[in-house]
Amino acid sequence: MNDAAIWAKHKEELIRYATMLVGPDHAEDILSAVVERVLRRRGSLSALDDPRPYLFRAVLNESRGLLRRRRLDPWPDDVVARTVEYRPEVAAAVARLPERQRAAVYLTYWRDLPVREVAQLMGCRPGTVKRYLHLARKKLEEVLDP
Amino acid sequence: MTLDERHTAELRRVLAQMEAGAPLAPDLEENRIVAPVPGKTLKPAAFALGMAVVLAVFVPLALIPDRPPVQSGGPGTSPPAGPMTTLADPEPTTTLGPSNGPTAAGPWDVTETPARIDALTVHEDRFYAITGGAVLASEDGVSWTTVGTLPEEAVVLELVSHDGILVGHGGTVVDAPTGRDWTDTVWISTDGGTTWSPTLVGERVRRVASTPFGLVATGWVDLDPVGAQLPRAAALWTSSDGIDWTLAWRAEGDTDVSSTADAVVWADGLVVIGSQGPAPFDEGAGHPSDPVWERVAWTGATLADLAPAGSVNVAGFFTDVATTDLGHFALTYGFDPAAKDSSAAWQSGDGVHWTDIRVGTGWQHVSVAADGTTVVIGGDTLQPGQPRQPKVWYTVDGQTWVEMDTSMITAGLALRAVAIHDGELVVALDGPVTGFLYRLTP
Repeated sequence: MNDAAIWAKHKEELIRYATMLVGPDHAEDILSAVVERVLRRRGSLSALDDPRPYLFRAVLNESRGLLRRRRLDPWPDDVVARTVEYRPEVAAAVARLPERQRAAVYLTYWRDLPVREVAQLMGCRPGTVKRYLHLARKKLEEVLDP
Repeated sequence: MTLDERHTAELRRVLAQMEAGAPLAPDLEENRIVAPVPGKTLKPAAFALGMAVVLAVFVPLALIPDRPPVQSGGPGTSPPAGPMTTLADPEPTTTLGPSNGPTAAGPWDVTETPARIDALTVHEDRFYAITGGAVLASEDGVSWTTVGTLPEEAVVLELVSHDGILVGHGGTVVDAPTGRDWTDTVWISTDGGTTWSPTLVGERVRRVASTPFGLVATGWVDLDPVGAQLPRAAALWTSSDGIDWTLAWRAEGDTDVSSTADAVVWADGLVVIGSQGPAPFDEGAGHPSDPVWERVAWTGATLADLAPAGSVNVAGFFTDVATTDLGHFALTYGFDPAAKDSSAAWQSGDGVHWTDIRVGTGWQHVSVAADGTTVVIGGDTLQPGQPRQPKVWYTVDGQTWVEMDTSMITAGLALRAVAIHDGELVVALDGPVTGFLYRLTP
C-alpha cells in the first residue's frame, strides 16, 4: 500500500481525533505536522510496521506539544458555542480535561474502543487508560448531573 | 467509578457534536499535505513541508546532534542499544532494559545510562531521569527513551512535577573569565522534557516543591554584610506557572541570627522546615549542618501569615522530605559522617513534631518517594572497607516497613534516588562513571 492509500485510509479518523484534542481550528495543522514528521524521520508512511497506532500516537503527541508550546485553549468558548448546541457546558468540561484524559474519554465513549486498544492508540498501558478514565469521570460527573 | 446509562448517553451526544466540528481531512499527494479546499493554506506551509522532505533526504545524518546512547543489561554488561528516539517520535521506543525477572526477588529490569543520574521523578504518568544532560522518560521504568536534552550550560539535580510542568532545580555553569562559575537556577520544561528554559536565576534556592500553594522554592536571601560576614534569612519564592516567581516570604533576620529554609511540608497550611544558627555567618566559619545550628519551623495557614513555630525535634540535617497520604516523611543525615547510623528517617503528622521511625539500621537514608499510601525509602550501606549495598524499604500503612530484596543490584553502586508510580518502583544508582535505573516491583 502506498503512502496516499495509507493516508486515505486513516485521515478521517485522525482529523476527528485531532479535532477532539486541539479543537477544529488547529486539527489540520496537527495532521500536517504529523505527516511532515513521519516523512522526515521515516521517509514514507509505508515504512511503518503498523501505521494506525503510530499515527494516533503521533497526533496525541503533536497535539500536546502544540497546546503546551503555544498555550492554546483548544476549545475556547466561541468555538464551543458555534459547534455544540446540546449541553455546551459538558463540552466545555470535556475540553478542560488534560489531553490524555480527553483522548481516553473520546476513544472509549465515542469510538467504543476497548481499553486495550485505547492503550495501544495512546501508547500507554491499559492500567494508565483506566486511571485517565477514572480521573475524567470524576470531573465530568459534576457537570453531567443537572 | 462508572457513568450511568443516562450520563453515558449524554456524554456520547456531546462528543458526537464536538467531533462533527472537524474540518475536512487534508490529502496527501506526492509526499505533500494539501488542503481539501483549493486555495486554503495549511500551517506549516506545504512549501516548508516539501523542504523538510528534501532536507531529510539530502542533509547528512551526521548533522543531527547525537543523543547519548543508553545501554542495558545490568552493571558490567553493555549490549548495544539502538539509537534513541524522541517523544515527538511516537514509534514504540527502543526497549533498553531486557526483563531479568521474575526471580525470587520479583520481576526486575535494569537500564544502564551513559552517565551518572542527576535526578529522578514521576511526571504525568512517566518516570523521568536526568543523566549527562539527557532527559530520559519511561512509561514503565523498563523502556527508556531520550525525550530531550538540557541546554549545555544547565545542570539539574532535582526534578519536580507540577501541574503539567517539569521543574528542574540546579544551576547554570558558565565559563567565566576566572573559570567555570555556578549560578543557582530553576529550569522548567512545558513540553515533557524536550526543551528547557531558565527561571529564578541567581537566588539561593535549596529545594523546590509542588504544593497546594503552587511551586515553592525554599532557600535564603543574603542580608547586608557584617564586616566580611554575610548573615542569611530563610526565604520562600512561589510561582504558579514556573515562569514568574515572587519572593513570597522572608524570615526575620538580624545581626545575631541566620536562618535558611530547607524544605516545606503541608496539610491544612504550610510548614517551612529550616535551620537557624548564629550570625554573623560566612561560608568559612559555619554551615547549617554545623551542630550549633538547630532545626526550626515556621507555620501558617497561608504564605502570608507564616510565623515562627519553634524548634523541630530532628537530629541532623534534612536530605529529603515528602508529604504523602500517610503524613510527612523526612530523611536526615547526622553531623558526624563517620558515625554508624548517622542518618535517620522521620515521620510527622504536623511537620513540627517528628518521630524517628527507625527504618532498618546501618545504612544511609538517601531518598524518599510516595505514590498514594505506598512510601518508599532508599539508601545504601557505607561501611569502611565494604562495597556499598543499596537498601530499599517500603510501607503501605505508615506503620510496618518491609525491606525489599535488592540482591540483584550490583554491590558498590550508590543509590541516588527512588521514584514510585502505579506499583512500579524505579531506583536510580550511580556507578563509577555510568548510572543504572532498576525497575523493581514492591
